[in-house]
Amino acid sequence: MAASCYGRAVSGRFDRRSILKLGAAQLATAGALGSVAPRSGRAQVPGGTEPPDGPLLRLSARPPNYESVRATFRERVTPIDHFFVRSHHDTPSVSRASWRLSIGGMVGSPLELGLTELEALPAVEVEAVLQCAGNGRALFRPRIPGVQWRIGAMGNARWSGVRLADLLARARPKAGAAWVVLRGADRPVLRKTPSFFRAIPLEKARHPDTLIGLGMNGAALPLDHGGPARVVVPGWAGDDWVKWISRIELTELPPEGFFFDTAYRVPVDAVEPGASVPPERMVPLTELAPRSLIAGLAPASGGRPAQHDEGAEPAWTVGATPHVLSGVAFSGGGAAISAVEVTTDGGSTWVKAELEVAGSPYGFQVFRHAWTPPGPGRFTVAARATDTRGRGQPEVAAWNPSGYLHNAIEHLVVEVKA
Amino acid sequence: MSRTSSEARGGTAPAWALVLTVLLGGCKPAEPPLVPDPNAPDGLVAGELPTGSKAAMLLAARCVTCHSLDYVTQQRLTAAQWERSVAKMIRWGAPLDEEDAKTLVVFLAERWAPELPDRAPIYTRAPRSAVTAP
Repeated sequence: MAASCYGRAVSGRFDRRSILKLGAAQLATAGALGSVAPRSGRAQVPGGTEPPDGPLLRLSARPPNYESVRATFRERVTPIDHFFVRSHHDTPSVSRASWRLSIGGMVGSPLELGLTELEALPAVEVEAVLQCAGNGRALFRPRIPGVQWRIGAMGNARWSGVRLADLLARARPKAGAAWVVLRGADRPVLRKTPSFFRAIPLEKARHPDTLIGLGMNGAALPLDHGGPARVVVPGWAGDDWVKWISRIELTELPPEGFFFDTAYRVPVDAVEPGASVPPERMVPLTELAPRSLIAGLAPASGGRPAQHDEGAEPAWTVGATPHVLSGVAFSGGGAAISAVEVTTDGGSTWVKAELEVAGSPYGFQVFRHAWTPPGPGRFTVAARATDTRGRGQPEVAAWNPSGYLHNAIEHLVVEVKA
Repeated sequence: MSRTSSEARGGTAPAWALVLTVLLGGCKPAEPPLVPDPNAPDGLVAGELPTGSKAAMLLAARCVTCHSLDYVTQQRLTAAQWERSVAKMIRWGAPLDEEDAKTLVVFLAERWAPELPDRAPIYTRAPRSAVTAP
């Protein structure tokens, strides 16, 4: 298949020691911050704003579900300790030494590999947005049960690892194999609770940008982000990025089980908000949709960005001086962002924002817009992104029974003081 | 805007949840000895953890086996949605009989209804973001 490929090969092979060294360096940094930070609970957010008790919002302690705060999205690459965490079950106990990944099912040569063997394969790095399918679920009306993500179940990282295609080539898929079933090492507490798993078509598994990820932003993949190994499916929603990947199975038919035949499905056509949709009208969720997010406002002269409390109105309070409004945009399926437009007058006029150089068509596109408020008052600001396939953002997100892929244009109020 | 205390100061939810599970799991005490930590991040609405009711005891004893209570208190659902959620949890192994389920649905639907404002944001640090597998 003539797939376009954005992942770049990184020098030869994985140097496990250098990755571990980076991991240790990062730990040291975290430790250093920790020595001054815990008393006040403050931590630095990119761009300089400091949420009162840390850079994440906790949605549930167990299993761990945390979303990033808005100010995180001033920067193209999301630092690990500001990156959202989404888990279906408790984090499993795993060790690098005993870690095994097995590949079986419809293959000619079943495989079992340890980390050292994985790291000996050609190393690849892809910058890509990981977004939870349910990011924005809390914004749908009527309400939908599930983790109540608002805006921060997304992040952009540099994912390093090995191509899943290289592993599959070694396992030699048999004729007729069509699905790749992905299972992690995490398990539910009770036997009757279904274990999380996903499946992707063999063609997508063989795409050169689909990885078994071993590193994140140059560090060894942390446990809460699925380390030592997770699946990386750039352009697709986070549910397929299975954490703690330990078993890969090739099958002819799509697998049965709650997390494939019920969860992570969207209606084939638009439905009335609140409608129940028959299973035969639902299909697996795959690609992400275009989305943009205003991260904040900062004085054009430099200086401290305006403070923000998620969900509060006004979103920001600023003086009538020159400001820069900035944020990120991204789309799905490998389509880059072609334009971001900004309004500061409630949608009467839209102006093209300035785009930074992007790192990858799968990654965040940072945008900026210089704005001097005309005077005191309340102003409604918004951003809207268009991708290279011509897709844009709707005024109202398409309601669906599980609350996936909310991507409506977000209107936020700025109060300008004299 | 009110906020609960940071995780650095309060105990972690699983610790007190585990204690309650050990104390209450499996047996049916006559008096529900539910003593929530006021700093626990799982305080229900605006820090008020209702005590003394059978439903509150069921929540603290049975539901926390698999998830912390903040998983429940972030929801804003109709009675019909709560009924379907509780039924799903029973299918997934929650030790609740028919009577328990009815009690719980009434309790949840009265408190975490769609009209209730969103929970105040709980700012925290990354749980264990820099930790890698040993």
